[in-house]
Amino acid sequence: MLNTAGLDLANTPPISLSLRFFLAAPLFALTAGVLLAAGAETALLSRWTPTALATAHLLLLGFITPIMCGALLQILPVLVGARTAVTPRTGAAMVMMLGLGVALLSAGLGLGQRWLLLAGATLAAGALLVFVIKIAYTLFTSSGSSPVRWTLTLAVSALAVTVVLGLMLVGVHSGWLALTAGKAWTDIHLAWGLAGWMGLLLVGIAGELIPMFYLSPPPPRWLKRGLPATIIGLLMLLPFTTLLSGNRLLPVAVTLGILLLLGGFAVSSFVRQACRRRPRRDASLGFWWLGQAAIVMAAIAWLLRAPETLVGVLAIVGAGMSFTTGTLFKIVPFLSWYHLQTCKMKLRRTDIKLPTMQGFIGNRAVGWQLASHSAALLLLSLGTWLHTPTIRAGGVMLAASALLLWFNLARAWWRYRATRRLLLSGDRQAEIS
Amino acid sequence: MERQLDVSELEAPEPLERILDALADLPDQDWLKVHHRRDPHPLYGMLRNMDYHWRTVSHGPDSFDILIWPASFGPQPPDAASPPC
Repeated sequence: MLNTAGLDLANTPPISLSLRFFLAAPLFALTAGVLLAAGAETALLSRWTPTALATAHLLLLGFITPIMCGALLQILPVLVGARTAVTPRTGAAMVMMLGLGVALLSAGLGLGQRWLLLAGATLAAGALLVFVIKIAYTLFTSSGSSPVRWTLTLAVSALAVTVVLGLMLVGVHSGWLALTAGKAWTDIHLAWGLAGWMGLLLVGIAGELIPMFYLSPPPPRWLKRGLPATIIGLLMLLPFTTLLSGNRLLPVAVTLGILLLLGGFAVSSFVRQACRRRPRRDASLGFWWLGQAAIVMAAIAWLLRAPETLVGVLAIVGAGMSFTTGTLFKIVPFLSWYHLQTCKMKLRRTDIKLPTMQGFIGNRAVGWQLASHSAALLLLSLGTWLHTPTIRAGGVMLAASALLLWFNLARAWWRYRATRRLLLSGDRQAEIS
Repeated sequence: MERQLDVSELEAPEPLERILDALADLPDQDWLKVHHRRDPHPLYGMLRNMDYHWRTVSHGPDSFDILIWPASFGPQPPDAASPPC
């Protein structure tokens, strides 16, 4: 058997580093689905119910954030040519800490147990702050002035702010910190997390990945630079307008500004995707369309003063989960192919044909995933009006969709391992389709 | 002799596949000039593994030319006017 220990994979970290994040994520979405189905009677009566708070954190911190972290670790070398300063051991520790942290934090929120909340928040914040420091170091030490570097720097900064605000709120909840206007601070925490961390990262990644994988025109450079800076500027204004100005209209105007910017980006992305140079059927693009539509619908729902839970479902399940799942279905096959191709070149195994990207996760499997996720989104959105039976069905569908996602990712990982074993074996006659 | 390859209208990972195929078929005394719409960072590690040198020239945010030649030619890019012998 040939040894690949000295294989130069340039700046790209081992694929297993990110796959740990990816494979952990669906388990939290599964838990969130079960929780919604089990507590359907009260789950979405308001955004402040224990089930709603626990579910939101399971999905945002347990599903969306690990996928975004894992994706960043692999995407940074591809987009800015910089190796991330996260070793496989640090990565594995981060997944463990974040996973345990999210589980305890959500249990604390769901059961109203302060010590669980505190332990969970400490663990999750520790993992995320290590991640922020490592990624910030990578971004600051990488060369070049690509706009995506700027956007990712702002997104990671927003994550740091979200984590600090979250810790502050846990301090208030635990009685260690006295703070007036707790609801306003929660809104600020939510805005930095959704629009700052999730929104900006998706703006940055979408601006690069969609032109790369779907051949759509890239967003103009002024948009890539101006949009993230404007959103961060508005987010920085939010605490002052909410807590200090005394004018009720100002925070509404700032939030409206953020929503219009994100909604405008979503609409302009639709237009660019409609101008793809080689349009072909690709179910993974459906996740981006669904996510973009959900952003626009969330903005409209907020403007029309629809229930806050509906805005939350559209933003988290509709936008956040759709974008991250769509990203997964492109980067997991691409990275599997890329790592195997590098291995093949190094070992000079010209006798072995690698699977194509579709060979890792087929279009049909992505189509089923899209259908189950869309059904979960529709049922949960309707559930904010129709309540118990619809929410229960939505929770079950969300759990089923999470299981399917885990299965699809595990199958891609299995295919990668099998092909790698073949490359490392002495059987040069073997051929795989 | 310089061989030219335009991969700017292909979606990932086709540009990488086409470049690797072109390099596999490249005659000994030739080198490759690739036109790409992005700076292909993942390619560079592969080129290093395969004993190739490269030089990338950016003509704008969406236009890059990558000159790729075997390491045996030396560290300087080959000149079309005076090819390596």
